[in-house]
Amino acid sequence: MTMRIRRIRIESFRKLAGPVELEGFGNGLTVIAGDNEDGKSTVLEAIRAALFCRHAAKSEYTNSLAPFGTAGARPRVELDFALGDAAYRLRKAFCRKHEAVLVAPGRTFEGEAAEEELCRIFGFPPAKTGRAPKAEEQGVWGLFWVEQGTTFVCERKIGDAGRSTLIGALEDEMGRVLGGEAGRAVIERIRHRCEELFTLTNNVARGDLKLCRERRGEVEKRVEVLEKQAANLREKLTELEGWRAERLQLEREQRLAHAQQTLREVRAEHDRIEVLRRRVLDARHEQQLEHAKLDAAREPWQQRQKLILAAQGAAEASIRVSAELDRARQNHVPLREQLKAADAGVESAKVRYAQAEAAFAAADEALRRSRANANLAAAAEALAKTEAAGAAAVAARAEAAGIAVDDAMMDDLRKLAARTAEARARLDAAETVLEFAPEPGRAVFLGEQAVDPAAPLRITSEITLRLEGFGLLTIRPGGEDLDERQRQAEAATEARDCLLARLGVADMMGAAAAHAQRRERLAAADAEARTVSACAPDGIDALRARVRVFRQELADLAVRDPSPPQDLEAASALLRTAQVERDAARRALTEDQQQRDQITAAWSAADRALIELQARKDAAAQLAVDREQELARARAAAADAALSEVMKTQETNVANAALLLRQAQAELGGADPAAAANRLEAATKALEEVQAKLMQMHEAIRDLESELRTLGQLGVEEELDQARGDLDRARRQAAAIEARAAALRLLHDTLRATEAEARQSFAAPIATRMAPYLSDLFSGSELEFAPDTLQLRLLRRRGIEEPLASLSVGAREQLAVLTRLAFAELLLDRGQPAALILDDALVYSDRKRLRQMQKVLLRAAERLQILVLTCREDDYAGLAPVLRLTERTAAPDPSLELGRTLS
Amino acid sequence: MTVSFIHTADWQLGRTFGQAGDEARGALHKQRFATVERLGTLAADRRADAVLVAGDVFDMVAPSDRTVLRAIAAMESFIGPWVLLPGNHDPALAEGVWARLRRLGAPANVMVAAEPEPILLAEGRLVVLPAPLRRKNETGDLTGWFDIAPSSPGAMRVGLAHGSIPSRLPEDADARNPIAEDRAARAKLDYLALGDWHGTLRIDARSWYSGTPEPDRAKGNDPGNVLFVRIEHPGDLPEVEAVPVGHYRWHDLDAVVHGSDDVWALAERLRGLGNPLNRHVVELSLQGTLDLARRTDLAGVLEDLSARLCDLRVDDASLIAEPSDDDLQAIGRGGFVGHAVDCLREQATGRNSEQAATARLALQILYLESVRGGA
Repeated sequence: MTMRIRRIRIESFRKLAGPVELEGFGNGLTVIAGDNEDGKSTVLEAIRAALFCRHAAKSEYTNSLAPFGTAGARPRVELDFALGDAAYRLRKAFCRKHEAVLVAPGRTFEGEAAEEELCRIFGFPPAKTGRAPKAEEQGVWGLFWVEQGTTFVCERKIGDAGRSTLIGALEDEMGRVLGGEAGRAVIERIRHRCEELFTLTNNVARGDLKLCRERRGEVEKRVEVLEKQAANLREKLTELEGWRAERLQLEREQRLAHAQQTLREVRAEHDRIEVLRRRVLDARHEQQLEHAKLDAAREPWQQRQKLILAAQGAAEASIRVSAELDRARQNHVPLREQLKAADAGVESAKVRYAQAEAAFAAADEALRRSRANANLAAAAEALAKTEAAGAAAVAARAEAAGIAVDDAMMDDLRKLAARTAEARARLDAAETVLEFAPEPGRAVFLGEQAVDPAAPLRITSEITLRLEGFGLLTIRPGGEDLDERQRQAEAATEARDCLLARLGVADMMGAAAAHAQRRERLAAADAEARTVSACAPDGIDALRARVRVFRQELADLAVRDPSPPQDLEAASALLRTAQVERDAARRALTEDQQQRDQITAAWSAADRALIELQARKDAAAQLAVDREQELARARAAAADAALSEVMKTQETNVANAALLLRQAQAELGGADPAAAANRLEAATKALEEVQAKLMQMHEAIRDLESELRTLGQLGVEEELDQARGDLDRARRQAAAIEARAAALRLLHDTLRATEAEARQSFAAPIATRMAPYLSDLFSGSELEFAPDTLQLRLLRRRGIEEPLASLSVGAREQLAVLTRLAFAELLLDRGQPAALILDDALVYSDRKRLRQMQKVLLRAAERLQILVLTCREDDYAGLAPVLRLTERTAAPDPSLELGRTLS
Repeated sequence: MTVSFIHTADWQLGRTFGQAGDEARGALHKQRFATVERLGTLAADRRADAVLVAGDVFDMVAPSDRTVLRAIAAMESFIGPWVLLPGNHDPALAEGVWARLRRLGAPANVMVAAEPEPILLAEGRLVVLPAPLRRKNETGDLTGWFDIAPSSPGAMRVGLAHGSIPSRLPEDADARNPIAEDRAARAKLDYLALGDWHGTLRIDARSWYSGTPEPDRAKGNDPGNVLFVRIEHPGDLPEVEAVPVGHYRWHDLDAVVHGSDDVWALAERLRGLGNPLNRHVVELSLQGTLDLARRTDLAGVLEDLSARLCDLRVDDASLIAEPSDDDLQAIGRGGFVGHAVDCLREQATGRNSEQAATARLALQILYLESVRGGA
């Protein structure tokens, strides 16, 4: 059913002192424009108050409806609206002279009746008090006021009434009953039953379940313990039986007696063997004694043998030494003769050597004289040379000194010549050239001189020429500095010439020649000087001294041998010969000496040997005698044969003893003592074992019997039997209660699941309705509603879930509006009245989105009335009829005036 | 020359009946002693020459002292000789209950036949040949020596043995501790008193199982009797009279319930077991299918009877409870609850039996909560 507001008239209501009348609302989208502070929100509040606030109420809220600061005001609202085809007019006044009148088609309601009818029409519960109508109390209508600043809090609570209206709409769509109170009660009871047995959150057992489990656990433990005890008891009984049986067996078999008997037998055998063993020991002892005795007998005999050998040895040694002595004596004599001869030889060699030495000395002296002579000659020659060269050098230098043109002068000269040449050149350059071509027979004269007409005349200064047939011609050559150049050239020439004169030469060539000569003279002097140096490196004085020395030497030598010195060569040759001869003589001498020494040495050695041998011979003889005596003495004490006899006897004894021993051992071996020892050990052990076993048995039986007496009294088996029964019951009880718990859990979970499913299914129609709008503004996304509160929870875009809080403010605004649109359409489909009022609800949206939203609104406005209150008129220009608040005034309602006057 | 005696066996004194309810346990345990006292009184009344107990006097190898003392006390009801034969539950072990019996003060008239040697009673008119068990299971026939056991010609030869006659017992009986079928004839016994089988059973004219004097299990085989035996002269056939002495009656019942009628029929059946009901012990096996409402009724019935009977043990593993449409109506078909019910019903028919059982139980609970509104 469509709901359309047609007209609003507000007076004395909060900001609007009024009266303000708005009419001309369209069927679809209508824009109510007004600046901030104009009272747009007041308009909304007025509609709300008109519909939902009890006219008769006296409360802070109703007081607040009056314009600020006016007491005794009478807020008044008139609302014309149509529901479907039915037209209604509502009039409400608050505070003073409150009233409510609802003019419906065919009926008029006043006061409370009017309020009730409003509730009925719009499906909201009557307000309980006069407070500001809360959203919950406005029924689903709370949804449809989308106010400024609250858009993005999409958490408007829908009260139960609101929800039931909405749900009622959805019910038909889904055909399911949510179950209402009864269903909730069942879930609650089941939950309660569950909680009696376990916590739903983490399945912790409590109550009977816990108790039964604990009991079961306890009894299980108890049974375990008792079973162990019973088993223990049985074991003990069995053990006791076992021991008793074994003891019986032992007794029957008379094991003890047998063991003892065996021991006795084995021991007897053992003793017998002991005897044999003893015998062997004795025999061994005997043998050892005889051995010792044999050793004792052997020793003297061995000593005797040694003695005999020693005597023999000594005698032989004595003889050998004598022979040696004789031989040595024989060798001694010839040596003396040899020595003599050697001495003589040495003497003659000495003589020869002395001679050779003298010859050598003479030759040496001759050579020295020759040498001195030669030296003198050489030195004198050198001296002469030196002196000559010296004189020459002096002469040359004197000549050179006479020439004035030395290097420096030459240089200067050249420079001057050069300068002259240069100056001249420059002058020539600046000169004037006269070329004559006289007529035949005519001549040119410079002074008295005739000038050669063939050659051009160069002039650099004024000249006067006489030209035959003409007269005089004076030419003053021009040129810049001709005078200067001329001067310079003259000066240079003069300088040159001056120097030449000073140097005493005619011209340059002469100068050059003089210079060259000077040079040559100096070079010659140098050459002579070099010669001097060569001949007399130490200086001429030194050379002279040397000459003097040589002369002297020669004079000294001449004293000894006045004969003229020989030739150097010959003297040298002579000396060499003498030297050779001398060396030979020395070698011969040396050889002879050596030989003589050898012979002397040999002779001494032989001498010594003789003495030694003599001594040895004496000693050896003595020793032989001693030994003989010793032997004789020993033999006197005991003859050789006797000793030998004793020894032989003892050897026999030893052999006998060995024989006896072997016999005894054989006997023992035959008896196998090792085995017998083993048997004795075994038998002893066996007996001990039997005894120990008997003891053990006895003790075990005694202990067990006493233990069993104690155990038996406990009545373990009876208790176990009882406990088993308890366990069986405990298990059954626990199983039963577990089954119940499981069933409760299953029941609870199933109920919850189905409930959630049912709730969730409510959200589907809303989502369906919103889908086309979503695709415009949030393409590719879906919405999720909280099933219990039907509030928007999150947006799912391309699979990613975005909670509302994370969306931009603008987006949330848009969603809020779209959601309300969907709800409104849902209600419309069900024939319930719906209209949407947006109070500056899209302030945060960008232009593009705003346009999109406006398209959506326009589309929706085809079916329901949408009022947009905005301060941004331009945003909505051209879209819908605009009612401007500021323009809307109306004449004061006469009835109002009346009301005032009357009260 | 007449000799008469009570033949009994399998007293199983000390058994604790753990499976039974708390109260029943104690009662059943105690009753066994009371029954012994009763049979002792019977023996005294009938002036029997002896009471012969063919084994399993005690239920275990080591019962508590208290049990032994109580046994001694119970036997004070008859001052004549009691001959107790060690059986397989209470064999004559080295240091077992029999030694304790003496130490704890059993009087001289209580004899333990721990050796395979003849016992002379009734001034020599009665010779008892016992075959005591030395251990739980004997593989050989301990009664063999009866054949060659001497006795004076004027005395009655009565064998006392505990074991099984392989060829004679029903199929499911244990075949250990064998006894020859024709032992009575071979050993020229006037009577062979047997024990181990808990029901009264005639093997032949001279060989009988007395059974236990107080029933101890539900499987019926005629327990709860003692045998009063009279023999006039040696060689005569014995007169054997079964005398009931048991207090409790045990029942092993099966019931199939498919609806309200069956439930009430079961109730009637249980109530009709006898008066007073508290002398009856019932083991009940239930089968069938019930809807939730009937199941609740059944639960009520069983609870009621459980209080009246001595003990009622119910095995309802094979009893299926499924909700009917009425049940569902009661639960409420509305909305998610109904959906939940559908889910659970589906699970209840699933293949996993454990899960199916849980689902069925869940439905029952839901039903109860919905109907009772949270009792």
